[in-house]
Amino acid sequence: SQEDVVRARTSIMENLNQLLTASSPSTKIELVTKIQEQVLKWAPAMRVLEEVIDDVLALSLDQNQDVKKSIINFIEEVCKQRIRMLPKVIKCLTMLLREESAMVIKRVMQACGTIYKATLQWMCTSEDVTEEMNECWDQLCFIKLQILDMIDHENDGIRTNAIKFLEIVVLLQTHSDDDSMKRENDFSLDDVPLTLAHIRRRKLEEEAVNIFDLLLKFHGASHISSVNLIACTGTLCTIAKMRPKLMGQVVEALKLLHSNLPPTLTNSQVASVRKNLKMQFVNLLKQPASYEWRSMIVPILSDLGASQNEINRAIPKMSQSELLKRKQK
Amino acid sequence: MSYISNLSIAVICSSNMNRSMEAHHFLNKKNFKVRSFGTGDKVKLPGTAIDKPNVYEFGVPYSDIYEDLSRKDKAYYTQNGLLHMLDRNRRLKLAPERFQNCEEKFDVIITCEERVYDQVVDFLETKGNVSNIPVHLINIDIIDNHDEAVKGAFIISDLVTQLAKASDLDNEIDEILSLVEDHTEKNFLHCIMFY
Repeated sequence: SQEDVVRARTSIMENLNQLLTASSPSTKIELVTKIQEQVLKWAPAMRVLEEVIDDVLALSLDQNQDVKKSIINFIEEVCKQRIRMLPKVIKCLTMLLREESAMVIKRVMQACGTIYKATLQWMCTSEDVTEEMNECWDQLCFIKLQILDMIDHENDGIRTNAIKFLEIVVLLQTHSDDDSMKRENDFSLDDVPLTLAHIRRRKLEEEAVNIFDLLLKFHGASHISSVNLIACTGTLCTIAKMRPKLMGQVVEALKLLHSNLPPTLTNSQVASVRKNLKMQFVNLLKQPASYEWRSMIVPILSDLGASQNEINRAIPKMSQSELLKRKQK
Repeated sequence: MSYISNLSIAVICSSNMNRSMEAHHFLNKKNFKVRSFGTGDKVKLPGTAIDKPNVYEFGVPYSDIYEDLSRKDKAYYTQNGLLHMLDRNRRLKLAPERFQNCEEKFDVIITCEERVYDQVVDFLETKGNVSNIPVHLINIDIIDNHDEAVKGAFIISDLVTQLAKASDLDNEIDEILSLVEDHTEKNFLHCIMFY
């Protein structure tokens, strides 16, 4: 009722006033979280979101990086639930990506993965795509290009987050098929309508293929750190499982890694990478789509210390007709 | 409560009784933001015979287990240290917790055994990531007895102290692990997973 909205507004305004006069970072973070919960979990308060959002976002200029991170969290949560607020927050996101603090940049990159997906879904399911939405998409694509560049960033953690973001872009912009591993709220190129004027399927796919190649190249680089090697192997395997068309290239990349580990790794890093490789190969083997790569995967798994029992357990049971179908493929 | 560092840490062993609780105790005393867990199906404690372990569900309070063992054979379980361990545990938290039931996100997860590390990796991998937030997973092999748990807790505490000092953990973790490995003569497994 109107009364509830008034009550919600009063309560939020109280918190906002406190936020605007607060001096300690922990109080600011606490109040941002409070307002965030109010506007997103309390139906009457949602109507107040537009009134207060600019004042909350102003805190992205705060000196403290934890306060900035709380604003990124706020933006991410708002976009998760009300992506139509994106035009209000996108500039702030672009600005925060240019921060000096690696912590802030990394948090923006994480949020951008979620927001990029939500925006593409929004564009693809809206009956009326407005000029404002198109502009937002363009700005988000600009952010995407900046993150793409960060795969060569001097900071190892920023590179890790770039890999993860690019995994999302590849998954969104390639086709799934019957063999694809399914996840909740999956979205693929198949869900992009051909009728969209501003977003073209072919262009998205072209970009995804280029990014996938870039990830393969990054994975094969001799100077890669063990953390990023493990993160990138994980990304490639997720792509292989969800987009089986690309599985062949991923298996080849992992095989190459197995025979040629980066020389910069220490002994325990070698042990960690080999252990991770074994786990990833077992998980690939579990996918029916890896059928045609089995003969390549099994010997590598044995070399990585997997027992015959472990290998047998990972191979999915298939009916005779399915086996025949796959053999013919 | 204010902590010495923002770093949130989980220490995990099989039953959340000995190794993870010893480390939890150490880190808690140093005022780190720490929680501890087990990854097993049940909480298992040695019994009076090798084929008669004491088995409990996760969530059964340490106090109840203490009472149960006291009732069964107080002298035996006092002498082998189990009652002392349970007494220490119940002062730290209510009951053993299973990692797979926890929704909280951590910055660093430390496991005390390779099998536990595998279970954590498997759990996070199967769950799939939704938030793109990374977590560092580190394994330190610790034999499951009292003395080794104490030694292990020293190493974990040393490692966490170094990790907490890093201004940018993701960028410095390789170096820190390598340094701590050198002076503790232990080998760590390390990988990154995503929530």
